[in-house]
Amino acid sequence: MKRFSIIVTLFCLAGCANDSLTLRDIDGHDQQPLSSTGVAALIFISADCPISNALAPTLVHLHDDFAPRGVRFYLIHCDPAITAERAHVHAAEYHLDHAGAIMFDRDQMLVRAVGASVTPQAVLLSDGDIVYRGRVNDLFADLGVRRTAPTREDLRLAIEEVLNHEPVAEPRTIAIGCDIPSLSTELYK
Amino acid sequence: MNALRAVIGVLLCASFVRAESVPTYSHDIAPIVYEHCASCHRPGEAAPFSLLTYEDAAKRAKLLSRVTGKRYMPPWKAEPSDLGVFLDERHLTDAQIDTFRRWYEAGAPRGDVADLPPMPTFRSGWQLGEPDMVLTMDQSFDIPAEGRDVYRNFVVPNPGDKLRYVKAVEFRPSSPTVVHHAIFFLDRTGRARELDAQDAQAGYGGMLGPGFAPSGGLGGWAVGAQPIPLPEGLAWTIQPRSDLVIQTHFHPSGKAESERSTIGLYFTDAAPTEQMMPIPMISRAIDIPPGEKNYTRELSFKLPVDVKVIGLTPHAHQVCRDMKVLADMPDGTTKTVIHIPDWDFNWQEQYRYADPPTIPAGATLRTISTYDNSADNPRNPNSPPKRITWGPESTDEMLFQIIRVVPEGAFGRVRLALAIAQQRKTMFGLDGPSNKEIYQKMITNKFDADGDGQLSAAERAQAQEFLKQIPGRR
Repeated sequence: MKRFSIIVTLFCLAGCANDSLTLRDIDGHDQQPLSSTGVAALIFISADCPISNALAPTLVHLHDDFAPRGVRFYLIHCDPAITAERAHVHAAEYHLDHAGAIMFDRDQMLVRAVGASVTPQAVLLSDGDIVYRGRVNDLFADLGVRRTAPTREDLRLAIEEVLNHEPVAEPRTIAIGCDIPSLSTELYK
Repeated sequence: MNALRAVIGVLLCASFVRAESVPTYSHDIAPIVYEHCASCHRPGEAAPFSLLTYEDAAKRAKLLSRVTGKRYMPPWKAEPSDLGVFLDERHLTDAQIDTFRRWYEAGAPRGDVADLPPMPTFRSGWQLGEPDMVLTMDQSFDIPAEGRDVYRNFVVPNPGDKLRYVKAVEFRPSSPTVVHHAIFFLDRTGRARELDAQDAQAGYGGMLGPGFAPSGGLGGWAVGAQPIPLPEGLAWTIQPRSDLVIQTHFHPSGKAESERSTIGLYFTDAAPTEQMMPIPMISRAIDIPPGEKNYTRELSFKLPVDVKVIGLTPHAHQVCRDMKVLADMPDGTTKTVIHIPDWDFNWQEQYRYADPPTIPAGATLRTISTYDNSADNPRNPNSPPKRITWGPESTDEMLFQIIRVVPEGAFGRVRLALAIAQQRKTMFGLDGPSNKEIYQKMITNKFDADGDGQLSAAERAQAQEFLKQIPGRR
């Protein structure tokens, strides 16, 4: 089942990449995170998930360290109800305006295309292929279980491996976070 | 026979189907959320989002189903006690948890809004009305956006120079998203002021205790706690010229915050007719090898008199996994006083019974703590695991239980005090040969820098210096 969903995801990704999914960022620019060459880190975030917010400084550090090396960072809000105003205020509060392009995926096309399920969750693309999907790091071992400090910086390691043209040692990890609002609820019908 | 089975099966199925009707927000979910979640999940409170409307809850239907199913929410670490309910106790029944799951699986339907219970009303500002005295930290303390949790002691000089009896305390953090819990000590020695002055920032660090022998306390506060007056006959006592010391635990939240807490005191003129006494069940004989998954320590104390149990303060650090206090009753039964099956260092609650139960003379209290110092324990502060011994730092460990009681009967206080004094040896982990051995070995392990299995003169001096810093040591 898992394998099947990954195949579907990859199939969809190839498809979506062809019709180059376009998302609007909070500065009003169009972005096409799936159709780009090179290395792109997509991080699904939420303005009101404490786990997503606790990792905001980590996202800033990653951007500081890897944006100069050509990695593009996209921070994706996938709550259908998020407003541009709320996203701006949130970005300012958590300094996320220094962590990448902040985008809206209110209809969750990108969520479905790459198989995201919670915030925060990272998807790393190398020339359009998913080479890593999972947690940003393991600061949270579970809901409510916060380590003193992370023991593994998964996204950082994956980015380094890709930049060094090595295979990603741990291509899938389980992200701990807040479930992305489900569009199948009556609320959105 | 088979036909009978079939009939019974059909009947069971039918009743099952009826019980499994689809829950709706208006009819089934809102009443649970209003009663058990909304006190924190509303605008301006500590929770990260509000849950007052259908939209708020429906978009998080999956999250609600998951966090209630894991019993992560509502946050409450203790199992139900055999002796009664605790104040602020927050438990959902299995049926309520199942309702969240079924509601999510059905697509989070709104249902008929006519079924909605009235929106709960919450008092804004001071929950018990205007306090008799309001004390505020004189400067703000900055909490960084990231990094380890912060423990900090803040001194609020008490301007009062008269004896006060305090019936209730309300704590109001200015940055509720980062303040996790607070404990209120009283200091008449002036030591806390000195420690504060030595440090340029507001307050001073440390979490073992406040760094002095407290002359008293005013209880504590944890996320979700409501200010509830002490029971009839009891009051906290503030001696003249006492400073209030607030020991606060902060969680970095991803964004830099600044905290300036306020505390409201509600006085009573009536001197307490009963006095709480702490029964300390504390041992320093803790020495956990790295990789040890199941290190258990137990202490016991036989009650010489009947006691009314007001509450407990369980305490341990990061590798404690399970903690319980049992009471072996004179009638041969064993009652669970408190059990925290998934101890979490971040939830340093002070538990108080809503209706203080009595434990009779002759009962034996047993406090049992189990520690997991393996790599499998995500709360282990060391990666890879290291030997963990007793000590004041959060990376050390403790076996620590304070049971606050009111002794009953003639000479109750004296007899209890005497029994505690005889038991004090446990404070040093010397209650019996095994503890003595563990304790001595622990001190050796802790200060044996060159690893030769014994203490050199220099190492011994360091050990003595360490032991000198422990408050209350004789």
